[in-house]
Amino acid sequence: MGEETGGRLVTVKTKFHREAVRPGGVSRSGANMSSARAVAALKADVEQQIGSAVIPLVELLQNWDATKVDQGCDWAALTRDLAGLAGLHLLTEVAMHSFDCLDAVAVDGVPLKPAEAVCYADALIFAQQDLCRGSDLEPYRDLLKDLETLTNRVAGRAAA
Amino acid sequence: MALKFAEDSVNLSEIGFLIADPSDLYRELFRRLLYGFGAKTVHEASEAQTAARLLADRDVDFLICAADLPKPGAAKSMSSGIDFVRAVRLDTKHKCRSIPMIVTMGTARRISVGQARDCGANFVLSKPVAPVVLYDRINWIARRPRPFWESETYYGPDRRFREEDHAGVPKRRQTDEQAINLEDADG
Repeated sequence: MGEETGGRLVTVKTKFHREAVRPGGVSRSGANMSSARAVAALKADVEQQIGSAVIPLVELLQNWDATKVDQGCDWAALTRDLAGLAGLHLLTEVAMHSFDCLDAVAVDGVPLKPAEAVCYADALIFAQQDLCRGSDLEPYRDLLKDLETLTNRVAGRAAA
Repeated sequence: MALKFAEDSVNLSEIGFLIADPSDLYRELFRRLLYGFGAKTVHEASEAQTAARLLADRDVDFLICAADLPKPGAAKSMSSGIDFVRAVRLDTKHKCRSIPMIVTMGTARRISVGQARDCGANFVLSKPVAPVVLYDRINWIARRPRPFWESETYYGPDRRFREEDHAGVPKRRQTDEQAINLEDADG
């Protein structure tokens, strides 16, 4: 858009802008409290679903089968989202790397070696133990760095 | 400029939301959050065709759309939700072309934030979405309406405006200090 010259600025005022600023709404602190309740209500579902995503993902990576990579992407994305909601920070990060790697395999068709796939599986198993204290990922920086290096190496095969 | 309005509230009681997301979990989460934020009308769609029908038939004032919203019968694409948002924005006769739109995305690797914002979305949020971040973005859109740039290839907020706190970049989880987790929610 920045390069375009054949356009014009228009003022937009929608129903949302009229209604949302009217008095009687929900404050930020009120929204915080209600969202905490909403997330807590989902907790049991989330914890149950994490297992249903991460277990088949680990199995796929341990017995790497490139024909199932699309399913692997779905499981990795689901693990990442669910772990994020559950506050499992390390699992969220590991699942992000797993997804990025599988995504490169699915979209670019780059090869992933079985030994490399097992690295992600091992990391997922480790992360699932939830040894992470709060959101402090510092103790696991080396692990995450190694996963990033591996992901970049796999994704880099597309350019080779 | 902080994206917080500590003293402000946002009134969503008359606002119709549409959540277009293939994830059952995210549709449920957003629905619960929006009800908690005071919304009374939340529509849901898991694919683009249903989303398009709801936009046309119902009173939708705010769209939250996943970047990977699937088109029916088409192979899953990481950017079909972005195409959907762009199509609504560029349809000059669409009644919802000017409503606020937030795009949520699971990965910033395949789709750049710039790509996502080029579709005309007001904000791009990364998954997992922290509830308070969603509230802040909605409040921001309400309190700081931006003029739209209209051209043949783009219709959406004028992005010569800068948001210094986040520049529209979805944060990775490990840097997201505002994330709410379920452990906290229990306490």
